[in-house]
Amino acid sequence: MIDAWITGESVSLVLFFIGLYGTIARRNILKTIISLSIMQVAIILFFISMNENVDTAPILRQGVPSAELVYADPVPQALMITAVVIGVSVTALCLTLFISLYHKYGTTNWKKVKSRRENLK
Amino acid sequence: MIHLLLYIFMPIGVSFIHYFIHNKISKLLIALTQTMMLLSNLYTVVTLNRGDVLTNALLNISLPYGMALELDDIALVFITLNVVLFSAMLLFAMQKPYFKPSFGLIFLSLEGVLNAIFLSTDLFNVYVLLEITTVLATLLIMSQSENKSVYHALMYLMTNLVSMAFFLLGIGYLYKITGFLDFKHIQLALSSMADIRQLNLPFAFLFTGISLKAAIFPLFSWLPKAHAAPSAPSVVSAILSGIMVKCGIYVLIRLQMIFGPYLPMDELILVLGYCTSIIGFLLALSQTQIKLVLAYSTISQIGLILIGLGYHNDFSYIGSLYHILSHGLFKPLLFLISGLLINYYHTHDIDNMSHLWRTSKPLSILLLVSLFSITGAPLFSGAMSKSMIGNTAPTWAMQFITLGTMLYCIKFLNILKPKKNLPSALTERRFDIKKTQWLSLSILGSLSLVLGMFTPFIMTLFWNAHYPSHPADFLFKGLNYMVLLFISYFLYQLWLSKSKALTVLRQIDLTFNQSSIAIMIYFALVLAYLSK
Repeated sequence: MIDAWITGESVSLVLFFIGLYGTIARRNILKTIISLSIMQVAIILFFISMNENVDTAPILRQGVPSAELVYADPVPQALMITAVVIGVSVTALCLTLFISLYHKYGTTNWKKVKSRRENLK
Repeated sequence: MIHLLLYIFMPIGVSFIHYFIHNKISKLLIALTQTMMLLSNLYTVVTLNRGDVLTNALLNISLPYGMALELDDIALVFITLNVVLFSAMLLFAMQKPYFKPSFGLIFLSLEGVLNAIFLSTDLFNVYVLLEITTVLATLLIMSQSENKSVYHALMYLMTNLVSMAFFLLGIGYLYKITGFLDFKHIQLALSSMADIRQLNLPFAFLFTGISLKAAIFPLFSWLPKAHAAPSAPSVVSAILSGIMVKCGIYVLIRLQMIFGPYLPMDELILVLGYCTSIIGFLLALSQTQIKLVLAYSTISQIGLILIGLGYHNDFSYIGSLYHILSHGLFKPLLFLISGLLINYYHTHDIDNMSHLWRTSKPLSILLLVSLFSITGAPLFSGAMSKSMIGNTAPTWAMQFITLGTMLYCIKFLNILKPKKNLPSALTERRFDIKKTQWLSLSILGSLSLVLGMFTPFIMTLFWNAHYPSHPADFLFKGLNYMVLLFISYFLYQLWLSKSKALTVLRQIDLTFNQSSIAIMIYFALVLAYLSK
């Protein structure tokens, strides 16, 4: 019964909303960046487990007649290579900005950064 | 045939050349590229009929397995605006000290990537390109003074990343259901779908993601921070407000084409449009910093565009597209003028600016042109688009929004007037504006006038449509405009300029965590609305 619920799709949805919860509930900038990464990982899991089936081969190989083999759709996997690259680069950019922000305001807290900005004005 | 790839790779290629050699030749090359794109765009506008599509296949395999670029009448509006706007902005910024090779690289790449979004035919490409524009815009926001604007840049980047995560998950669900990523085949697959309810979840994800990009209420908290970052050059604010925010609208139009026949999307857009427009002008009214007034005004105008899309009849739809064009011209003009005013008065506070009419008459005239356009005065660009959007809307609602627009524009009118207690040293200096900058400002101003005066001609050119209007209508609208202007002037001077209620509104500023809560609630509400 429970096994039927633990699929790639449901796990990725739960992970996605855990990530979103992190962006809502964590005031630490670093933790919000980590939460964003969790959301991205959830999406990657969703895509690659989209048409997942135990009996399917991951991709079509040369020499194996395609009529005999049920193979998984390669498009989501190809898309996710792009998504991984984007995820890595935007996380790097976020972290760079965070370091710069930390040097200026001396805190990792969203709320404190905001109040210190207001005091600066 | 016009090769659509050139719209993408010409600006990016030239930006790299400029980055490596950055001399007069590279600047000449940039000018040449922009001229070529303008001419090819003009040719396409003249030759492309409504319903025609220019296709540029990128692979030998046809869609849905291959990739292609397509230019239809909707994409043409956005491409035209993009090319014209970037040409004017380059003319304005090329002589400025901040136009370093690295700035040019990011700025011109943004033009190419924006063109790619408008030409793209599938959702995943749109996602990738939207992510690239977000990164480029972040770099532009903090290009001039890294330390001051790093908070704005990080807020902008992270809120947009959260929304794009929603968008990508929506694409995943849609792919799972339909098996396609390109617009046409998704449309075809949906037409033969038995259970429409399974579209609710992917649509809610996609709609939430793109609503933040389009700065729809209540997901607009990032926009003023990005568009009005005090240290960002005014050219960047102009581009962000003029075309970047329209990317969201563009994708929303595409989603409306896909999902509109099956889901109650029009009502949703309509309600959100009214909310965005009204909240936008109220917040614009409460601000005192000149760029913030303009940024919130952009939100209000986005609301107006959404109202037209929400009514979804022929004229309101064209009205929305027309307003995208006209807003894309008068708002950058206002941002450029505001940048000049900030440099001149050494303040961001709009209440501390005055005497403009005495100091510079040409700049005052340009400011008046943009103000008349934004408030929809007859013969100016906003008039006809607002009239078309209001074609089916209740008259009182449109009058109320126009009145709101006029109220915050009175702040700008006050800049023209002399003030008693201003130091004479301020009023005796001259504006330091180069010839190319005048040219750029005049182009934007005159295009705003052209859009207002030659509406029938432009409508025929772009959409092959004719909007019926009589001279009596024109007189009535003129009178109506004058009455509203007087009411708003006295309302502002006698009551609103001294009102304390606006100070409370000014304090509203969401943190990153609160923006995420807004996204979550918005998503839940959209899903609940669809499942009802």
